[in-house]
Amino acid sequence: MSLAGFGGVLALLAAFPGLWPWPLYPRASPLGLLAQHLVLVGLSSLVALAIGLGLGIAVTRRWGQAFLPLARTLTSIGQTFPPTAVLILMVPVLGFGLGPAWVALALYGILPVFGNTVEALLAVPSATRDAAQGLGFRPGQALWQVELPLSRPFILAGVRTSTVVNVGTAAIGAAIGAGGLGAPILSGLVTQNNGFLAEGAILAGLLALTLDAGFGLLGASAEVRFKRQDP
Amino acid sequence: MITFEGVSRRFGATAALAGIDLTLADHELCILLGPSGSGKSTLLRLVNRLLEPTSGRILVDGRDVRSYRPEALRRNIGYVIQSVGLFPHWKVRDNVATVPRLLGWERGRISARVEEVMDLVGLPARTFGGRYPHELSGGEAQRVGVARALASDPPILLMDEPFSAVDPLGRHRIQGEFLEIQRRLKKAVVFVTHDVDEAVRLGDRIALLKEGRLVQYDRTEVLLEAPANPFVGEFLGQDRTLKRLSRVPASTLARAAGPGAGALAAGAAAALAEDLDLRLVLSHFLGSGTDIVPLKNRQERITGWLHRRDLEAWARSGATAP
Repeated sequence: MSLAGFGGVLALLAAFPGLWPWPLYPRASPLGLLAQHLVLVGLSSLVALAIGLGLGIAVTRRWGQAFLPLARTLTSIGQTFPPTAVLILMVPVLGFGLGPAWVALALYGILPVFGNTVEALLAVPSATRDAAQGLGFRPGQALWQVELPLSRPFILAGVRTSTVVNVGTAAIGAAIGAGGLGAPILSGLVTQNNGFLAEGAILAGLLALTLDAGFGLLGASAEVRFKRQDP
Repeated sequence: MITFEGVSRRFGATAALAGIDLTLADHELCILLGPSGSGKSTLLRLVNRLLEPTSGRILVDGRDVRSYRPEALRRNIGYVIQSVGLFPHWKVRDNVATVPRLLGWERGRISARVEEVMDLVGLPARTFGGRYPHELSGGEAQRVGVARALASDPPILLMDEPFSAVDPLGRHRIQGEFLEIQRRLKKAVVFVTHDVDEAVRLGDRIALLKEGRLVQYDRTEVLLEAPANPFVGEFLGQDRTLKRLSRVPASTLARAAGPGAGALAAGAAAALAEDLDLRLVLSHFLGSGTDIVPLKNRQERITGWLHRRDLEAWARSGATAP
């Protein structure tokens, strides 16, 4: 649905720029802004996925279990920071520009991925883990063939949250000079130009909805393939 | 052959096992029996190194299990657990193929073996192979668990209360089926249970454990006839004689000679199956008030006669079944 809507709006804008009732943001094309935004969100989410997943796996292994309580505490504290605050806090540390925005987005995106990975891995039934070990899986084989596939829907849910939130946060990133769809929004706010504002806001909203729907489809396909056994 | 030599295992301050010496023979089903907390599961998990002993050693065919890589050891020992632990994201076929796949068998050999072993447990791969574990009943899931353990044809099978989560009726059936399989395959089975009836029904030998110590280890008949101490007698129950009878088929005590030919026709109607156990034959005697009963084979032919006095003499004498 939202994918079609998104595509439709883009196609209309590209084909009939005249349809847009206000002047477009002059410093970059809508497509360019969108691409910039996507790269910002995509790369930072990818980094967040790698780090969140890695940390989640680490603290649920026997050798990393000592860090589980600490990691959980840090995660819940991290979740209480509003994304804007994380972005603004980056400025004194890393200054303005694309780099700090990336770091902030990645850091903020780690939390949901990490949290869901941990909970999902801990929820794998102990009988399943015992069976895997007793049948002769090496620890890595048990992780890749049993634990992670069983945790996939929950981990995907974490990635979904992380990515969708990042679309919004990345828009605020314009405030520290990250560019993307936040640029026309910010410019619109400053110059009281509703056209700029609407251009950025509508595209960002549609992007968030599209990504969310995409992850929904991915998650659903993972869900249909099996059901968790009752313990 | 599995040998425990002076095996002890502690969990923190508590001793789960203390000084166990025990040898389990090949081709026999050995029951590890005991109340909860007796250390029977711990003993089982030492064999495939899911646990390590605090002291002592465990030998499989004369070789210390610590000289194997744990995964290599486990892939050559079948493992069945109470909650089955099937992998919910894999079809039944893939679950059964687990160990052959880990062993790196080629595809054709794996699928042939999966078919074979699923037939063995009475779940044809054509019907059940494509199902997911959540689509199985408890008994079916447990059969798949057994098939998975047998897939690589390991000489040893470890079973940790494998049937205790199945409902009583299903449990009795699956026990019978497993006994049939074991008669054919003759694995060295180590079978943990706290259920005395299950132990008596399945075990060639029983090792009775209490608080981490081995109380008695003997052939099942010997254990029932001659408990080593009051704990053993009490644990096995007041009905030990009936339990002994339950292990012996009626045909064991059959005589060729019956009453006159006249009674034969009358008796044929009440004939009992010759593979019925003596406990049920006794029940028949008590209920019917008769002293003699004809036995029939699967083809409904009379194969012999069982006299009540033979049964009673057998029960008193303590003669072990052949």
